[in-house]
Amino acid sequence: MLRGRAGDLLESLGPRARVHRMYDGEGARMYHDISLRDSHEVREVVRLVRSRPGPVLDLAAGSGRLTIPLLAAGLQVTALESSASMLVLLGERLAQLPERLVVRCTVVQADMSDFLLAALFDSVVLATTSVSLLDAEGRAGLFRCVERHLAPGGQLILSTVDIPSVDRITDTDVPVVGESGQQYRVLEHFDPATSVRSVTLHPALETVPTDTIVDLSTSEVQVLPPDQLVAELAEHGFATRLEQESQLGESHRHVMLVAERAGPVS
Amino acid sequence: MNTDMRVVKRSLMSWGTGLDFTGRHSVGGASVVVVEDADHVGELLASDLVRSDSVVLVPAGGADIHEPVCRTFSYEGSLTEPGVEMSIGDDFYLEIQDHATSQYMSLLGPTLIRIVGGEDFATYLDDADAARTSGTFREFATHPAVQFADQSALGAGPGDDGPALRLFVARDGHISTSPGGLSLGTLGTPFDSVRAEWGRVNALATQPCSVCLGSVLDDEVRSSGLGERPWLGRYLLALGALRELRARTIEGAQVSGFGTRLLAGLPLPDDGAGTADRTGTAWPFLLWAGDDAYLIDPLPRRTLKLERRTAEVVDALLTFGAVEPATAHVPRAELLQVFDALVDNGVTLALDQETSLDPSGLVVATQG
Repeated sequence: MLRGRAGDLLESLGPRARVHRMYDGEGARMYHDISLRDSHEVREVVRLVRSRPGPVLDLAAGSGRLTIPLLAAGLQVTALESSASMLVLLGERLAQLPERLVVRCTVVQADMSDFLLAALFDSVVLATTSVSLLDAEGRAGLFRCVERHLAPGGQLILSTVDIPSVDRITDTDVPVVGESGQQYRVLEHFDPATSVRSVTLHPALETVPTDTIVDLSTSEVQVLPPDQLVAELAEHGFATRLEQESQLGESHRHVMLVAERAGPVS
Repeated sequence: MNTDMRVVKRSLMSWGTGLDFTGRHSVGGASVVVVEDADHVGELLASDLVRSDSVVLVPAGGADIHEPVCRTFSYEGSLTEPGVEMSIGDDFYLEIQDHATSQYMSLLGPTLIRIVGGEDFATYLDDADAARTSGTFREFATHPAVQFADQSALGAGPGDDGPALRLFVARDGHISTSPGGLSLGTLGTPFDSVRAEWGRVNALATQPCSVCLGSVLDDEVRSSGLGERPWLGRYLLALGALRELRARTIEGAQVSGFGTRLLAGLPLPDDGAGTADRTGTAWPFLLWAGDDAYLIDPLPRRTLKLERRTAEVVDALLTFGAVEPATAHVPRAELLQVFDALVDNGVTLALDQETSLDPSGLVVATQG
């Protein structure tokens, strides 16, 4: 269900509208286009991962927003992603890289809340606030998997976003330009009563010929405040520190955390 | 910006790049020294590694320096680790990034791009090759806020690099010209010995500088990469020229000899025609964006804006380094007319009068 401006747009487009999930098919392609211009978190993640120069597991790797820079930094990277569409895009990006980088990349199609790999990792990365894509049960599965795959002394690097100071429904419309040059609009609807954040991405209408299909790519998540995330990590035996905090836009607080096993490895 | 900060910026730029922006040429000791551990400062300042006009950068938090023999400045952060920022007071910040990941990062401000390992060097060569063959330069590499570190090891030639320009005192007390450099001694080693060791190592190398990246990069790999690309010095200067234009908000400029010519039909440097602009680092550059073109003389750095047709004629003159072969592309009268017009504007191109393509006779003097 599309809410707010996205809902209004859907209604106004009528039969011209075609709705996609954010990370599948056409949705994945549009998301990929804007992600190629998004360098947010890359600097911090690369710096943190470099402090533990062993193998890296990049969860919810998507089309390689963090995978590719980590490969460029000389690291051995396993990119884990559940979306077949995203993996196709990742494969296309890897195909353009020098062989010396590609040989250090292992690509796995799997669910980040339930996976088993024959490897341990010095760093596990779950960036782009993707942890909020999982519900509580999913996150519990994620933390169990991470615990199982972390090498001794390893670290989990993850980010989340909070919208702390909003006490009424907000409905924003922000222009974004993709790497292809395509202009998009990003619509976000947030309801503090439910903490549900709905994001809809679509090509700017003035760039779409009239009477042709307009693709809408949408995602809906429960905002996951850092305090809640830290508490959940503690329940799974992780000690967490705040690595970086930044303001995104007027109301979004982006937080990057680093979690490590709190006690001796059993 | 006060005088001290100007001195610091120029000193840091010299120390990072290995190019001399300090204008300080006293004898004995280094012009710029960066110390990684504040505990080493006392011994450094008591040594002949510094001189009265040296600039020394010291980590903040160390003991007070009483009656220093030269100018010292405190810094926070690091000048060695990629992804980390250094700062001096509240007015100056410099970020260090490695080459390989820089294309994936946003630039926050003044940035020194380092080669910290083999992957960085491989990426540097890939980027240079792409620029040379297709005219496509990495966006970060031409950003006005960026400088490349250790350029004497990346094809710029020896220039003024060496212990007389810059030294780095590592945490363990070893001394080199750069954080990634081979050890030339330790605190307590006399300056002449440090300089002699630098000379000895470079005398054994096939490509300069064998010291400043010697501890992070296999020198055979480095030398091989440079040997296969004798034009890397021009690539580095082309980056500088593009940065200069971007600083003037002129975006998307193309560089003659890098995948393209302004005047159609002129041979490219690596076509086998032996053009005058193939490798020389003193040879001027012609750049253009839209209908505007720019003649840039790297040494000394001077820029002259040209009208399109004039630039096309200059392109022919700079490509061949002589009038006669250029007449195959531009009428002689026009070549001579442009030549005279440049002279009238304070630009003298002393072209080789023979039909050979040897550029050694070229001297460019541009107006101030």
